[in-house]
Amino acid sequence: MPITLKNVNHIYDEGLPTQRMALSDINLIFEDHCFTALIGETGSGKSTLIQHLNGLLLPTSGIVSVNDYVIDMTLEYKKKHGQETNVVDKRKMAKKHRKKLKEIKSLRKRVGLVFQFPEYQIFEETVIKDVSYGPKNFGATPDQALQSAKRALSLVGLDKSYYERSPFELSGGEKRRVAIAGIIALNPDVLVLDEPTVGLDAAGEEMLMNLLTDIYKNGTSIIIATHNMDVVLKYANRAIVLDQGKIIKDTTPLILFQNHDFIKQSSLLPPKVFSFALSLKSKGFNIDLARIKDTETLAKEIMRVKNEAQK
Amino acid sequence: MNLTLGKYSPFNTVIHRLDSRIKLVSLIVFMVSVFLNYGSAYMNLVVYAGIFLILFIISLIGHVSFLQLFRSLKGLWVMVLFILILNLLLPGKTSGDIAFTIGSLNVYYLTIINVSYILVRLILVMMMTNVFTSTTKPMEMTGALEWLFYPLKFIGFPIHKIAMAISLALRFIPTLAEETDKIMKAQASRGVDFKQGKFKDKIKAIVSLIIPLFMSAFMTSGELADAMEARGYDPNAKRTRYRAYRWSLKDTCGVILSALFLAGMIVLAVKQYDLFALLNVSLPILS
Repeated sequence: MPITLKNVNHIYDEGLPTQRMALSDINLIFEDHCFTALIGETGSGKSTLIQHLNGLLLPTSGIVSVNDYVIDMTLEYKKKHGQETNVVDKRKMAKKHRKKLKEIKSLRKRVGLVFQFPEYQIFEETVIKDVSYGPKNFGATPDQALQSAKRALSLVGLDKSYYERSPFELSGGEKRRVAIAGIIALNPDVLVLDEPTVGLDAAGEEMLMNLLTDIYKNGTSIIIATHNMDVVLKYANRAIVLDQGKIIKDTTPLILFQNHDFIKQSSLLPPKVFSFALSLKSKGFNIDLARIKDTETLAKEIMRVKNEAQK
Repeated sequence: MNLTLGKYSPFNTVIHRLDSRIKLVSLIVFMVSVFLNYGSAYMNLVVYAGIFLILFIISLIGHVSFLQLFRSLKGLWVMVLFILILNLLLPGKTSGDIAFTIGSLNVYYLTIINVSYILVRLILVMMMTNVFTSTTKPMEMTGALEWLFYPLKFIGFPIHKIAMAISLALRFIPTLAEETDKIMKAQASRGVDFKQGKFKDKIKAIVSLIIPLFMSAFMTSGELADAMEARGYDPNAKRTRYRAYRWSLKDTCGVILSALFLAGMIVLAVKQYDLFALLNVSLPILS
């Protein structure tokens, strides 16, 4: 399911001294079945951008299209709507407005958004109830919601023994898996995650990213906003760099991290495995950087160089 | 959900630059004035209109959003209904001419006037506090409260502890508002609709907001207490201020003006002057 952003601008606190341009003239297409990483410094507009993808934030101006549906209701439109003086027009507009909001709400099922520290959205008394809460809100019958919840929990690696447990008794990593299951249970076409690995230990991080890779392989598009460059290099097939609300690079992670000048200028830190490969290369190893994705590919590359040297 | 009402708006206006202590004293003076009884319903109306006008001008100068305030007033209808029912059922409040009847229940003019008084007072108090909180930084507000309570220190009242508690509470309002916004968006991603739907669904939606919000607030408060202790905070220690308040002529003028205004309102209330009688204007008696 492709998502298109056309000339999207977003301004926070418009008209106040604290006014800030969070997104500036964003033109972007997220193709069907992509694994995209949004990267950039804190405050570069990553979180604002992803909240536009399912209509949680409306653009100040510009258009966001999700598949064939166009979110053309901007903040400017909302303001104008409030200024209607003719009662008949006002009622018509209010009806149209409600219909649009309903349509935008239905988009949230197709574009699932997992916020940073999603464990804080948990509130039900049992894990299974919390995970089935989303599907119920989107009109699933209790039985359908239960089945979706079970499927999602099994996907995130939580077995039956967790179903009746209180989510508040679980560890941080388990809580996050429950929260992510809550969105996966909606069976979205696109899964958007804001800083999914933040606060997780190394094992938890790997488990989560493997889970996302599985979901991706099953046909769901994945979009992540992250500061973790190792994750970008290993898992993503597209990297979009944002700076002060503008897209400054849109390429593949491998091409991005090989562009040393750009990396230095944009104050991004290259992935650790990539830095190590660069050190090896600077010391005379004939490493092909285009083959490096993680420690495993690096080890293979070192072996290849070693074998070539022995020949 | 309106999270911006009463939030500090960082403009640089005369009202913003005024000493927070003067603003606090004026707020108290205005509040007392609103709750005084000036005799006839018409006189009360005149006084309320006068206070409204003053607040309106202050709001305009201080760039305080009036629209936001009136939008938030929509939620007051439940309270109006509650006050109306309470006044209808309370003994002693049912006298005078009947305005209309609902079934076997008589609704008197006096009841309607009483309910209107409460409602108008409530709106005016909301306006005042909105002006005060929109134009005064939370820390300045705490400083003003600490200054106001200073005499109580001599009878052993822990003013510093109270001021610290208030300042922390105020400091965390924007944080909680941000957290609320974040949780609402997270739940909206799971299909929760906070604005529309049946009453039962709305209750469930609010529960999905309140539980995570409380959990987060308790966690933050625990972390904050630990962080304060880790930095050696002692609630009983003698404290100094980074920015000491200096009493100036402007402050004296402000206090005198507030005192004069209050004195004038008290005289008006005690003497019960009828402006309309003085101007020979005859109006129907509402009772």
